Amino acid sequence: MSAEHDQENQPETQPATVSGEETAVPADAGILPDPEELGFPQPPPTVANKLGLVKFNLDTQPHLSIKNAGVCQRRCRQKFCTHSCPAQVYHWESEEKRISISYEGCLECGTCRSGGCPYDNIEMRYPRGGYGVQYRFG
Amino acid sequence: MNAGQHKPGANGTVPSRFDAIVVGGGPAGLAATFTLASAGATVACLERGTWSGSKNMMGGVIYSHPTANVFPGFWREAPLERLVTRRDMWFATTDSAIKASFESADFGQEPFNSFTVYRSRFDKWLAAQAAAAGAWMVTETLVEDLLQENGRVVGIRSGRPQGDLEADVVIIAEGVNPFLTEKAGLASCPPQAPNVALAVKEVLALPKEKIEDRFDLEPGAGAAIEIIGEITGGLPGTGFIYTNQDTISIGVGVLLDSLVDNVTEAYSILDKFKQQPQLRRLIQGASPREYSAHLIPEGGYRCMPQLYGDGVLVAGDAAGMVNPINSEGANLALLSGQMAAETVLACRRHGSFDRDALSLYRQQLEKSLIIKDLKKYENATPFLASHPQLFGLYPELMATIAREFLTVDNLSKADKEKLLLRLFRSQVPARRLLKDLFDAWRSLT
Ligand SMILES: Cc1cc2nc3c(=O)[nH]c(=O)nc-3n(C[C@H](O)[C@H](O)[C@H](O)COP(=O)(O)OP(=O)(O)OC[C@H]3O[C@@H](n4cnc5c(N)ncnc54)[C@H](O)[C@@H]3O)c2cc1C
Ligand code: SF4
Ligand code: SF4
Repeated sequence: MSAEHDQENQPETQPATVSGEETAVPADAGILPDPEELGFPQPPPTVANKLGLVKFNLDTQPHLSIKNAGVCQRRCRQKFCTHSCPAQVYHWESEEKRISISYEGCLECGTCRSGGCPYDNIEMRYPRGGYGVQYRFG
Repeated sequence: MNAGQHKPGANGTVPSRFDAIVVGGGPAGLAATFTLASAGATVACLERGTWSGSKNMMGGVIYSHPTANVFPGFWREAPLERLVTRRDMWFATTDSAIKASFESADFGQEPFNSFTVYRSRFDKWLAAQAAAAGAWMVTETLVEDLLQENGRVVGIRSGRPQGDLEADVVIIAEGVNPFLTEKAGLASCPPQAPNVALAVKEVLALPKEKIEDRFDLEPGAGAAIEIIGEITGGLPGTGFIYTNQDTISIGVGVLLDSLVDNVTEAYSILDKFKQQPQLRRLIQGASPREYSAHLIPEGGYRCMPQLYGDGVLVAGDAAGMVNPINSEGANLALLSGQMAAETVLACRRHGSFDRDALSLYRQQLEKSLIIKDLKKYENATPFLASHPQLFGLYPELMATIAREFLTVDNLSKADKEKLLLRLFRSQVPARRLLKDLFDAWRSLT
């Protein structure tokens, strides 16, 4: 994940910027030779691979939490969130019997608050202003 | 609160009172902001992203007519990828596809029909237009709550220190996750899986010439392909593949309800989709540049919130203004944002922003295509959700029929016809087919 976390550069202490200013859209970095084109079939990229292409401005404060761990433990057999979240933010830790949350890779889609957890057991907010995902293309 | 706004005479500090505050710098919010600022109102637009567009994703077709309605002649300056000259529709199974293609000379002439765009760049351009018209563009600012007095919205509370701002009216244009619309008590459907589709998309880089070769395009021209069928894993949804200058946007959107019921991941569906042989050929050798995910409101007319209240209006995705059949929401967002702004300007003349005065917004929407279309397709999402055969069995049968007719072997065409008819009957009782067709006609046309 090409994460940027720069203590000096926290949006909190920085004046808001006018849109229209130059952004982080990089000049095209050139196209790498693709193993597939050379005849090697490739397994589909993992979600971690996919997220590696996404730029994030990491917040130190998580913006996601589980409301009631007991519901995950006892009521929810399928652990739906581990499938419905498109960024695989949620993992079932079978030893500890709890959901762990990698909020850093959250794409802020809102699935987990809109039925992605059928028990409505996830508290999802947006990260603070300026933090979180920063699409270059979108 | 500071803003890097370079306005003649401004000292860099955002005033704490405005004629109007717009929450969200997407197409809806920016159309509203631009329209208000152009008419001389003092308006602030608050956007949580570092720039407008940095949080936003769509398939990528922007329609020229509604956009030009708000931003005349936008195509001369806006960052556009390709002028769409061809729109295709594929009915695809995992290994075959029936393709329908539409091209028109009109598409290539002013005012054009549509363009592909990257939202991260396009929204940023829209925001720059609003700033140039004199609006206060405040980015990196999450609006956390609405300020209310006796049930009337009087401003917003942001996450910044001294982050309260007041205004005669607040336009909520926060997109598909309606946190503030819910807080204002205006939402009519709870945020639930039957009311949204989850879309995932990848941007894949490929040299210009290869794109133009593979998609059979003139230089600079673009294709937009919509795909339905078994390729969404038999779940109610659609796929798309759009051409940009030197990338391809490819994605799938599936009703969240069915993803959850089937314990299926949206990205797994996209991965399989990319392996479909006819699609694979188009994207072969392209290298991934970005992955993204976004919800689409599918509740339609049924889930439309209260569109106005005392001191508040709701526009765009936040108001559920997406046509569930084609997911074209940016155009409705632009138009509704513009209408919200025009309502505010009309109310300003009378000096009243209460519910009654602002109900003009709803009246204007009723007259426009927005509510007419939303009403027309009111039953589309429930229909699609309850007829999975449209996404699995029927495209499969269509492909079988096409394959049999186009394959030359030692069966006569008459024998093939008999064979197919028998196959078809065994899969779909005639009565059911008729009923499905009738229901589809009623809900989708
Ligand atoms: C996969 C996909 C494909 C699509 N394809 C098309 C297409 O080809 N053509 C088309 O016309 N439409 C398409 N759409 C629909 C279209 O993207 C939306 O309808 C449109 O973006 C809605 O505009 P909006 O301004 O209402 O919301 P958004 O574009 O979502 O903008 C909302 C803005 O508000 C900001 N925001 C939210 N909450 C806050 C807050 N509390 N404080 C501050 N800022 C906030 C967000 O960061 C965002 O910038 C597609 C959608 C998806 C998901
Ligand atoms: S889907 Fe909801 S209840 Fe189930 S494990 Fe995830 S958070 Fe817990
Ligand atoms: S908002 Fe979307 S990406 Fe983020 S955790 Fe929830 S489901 Fe996952």
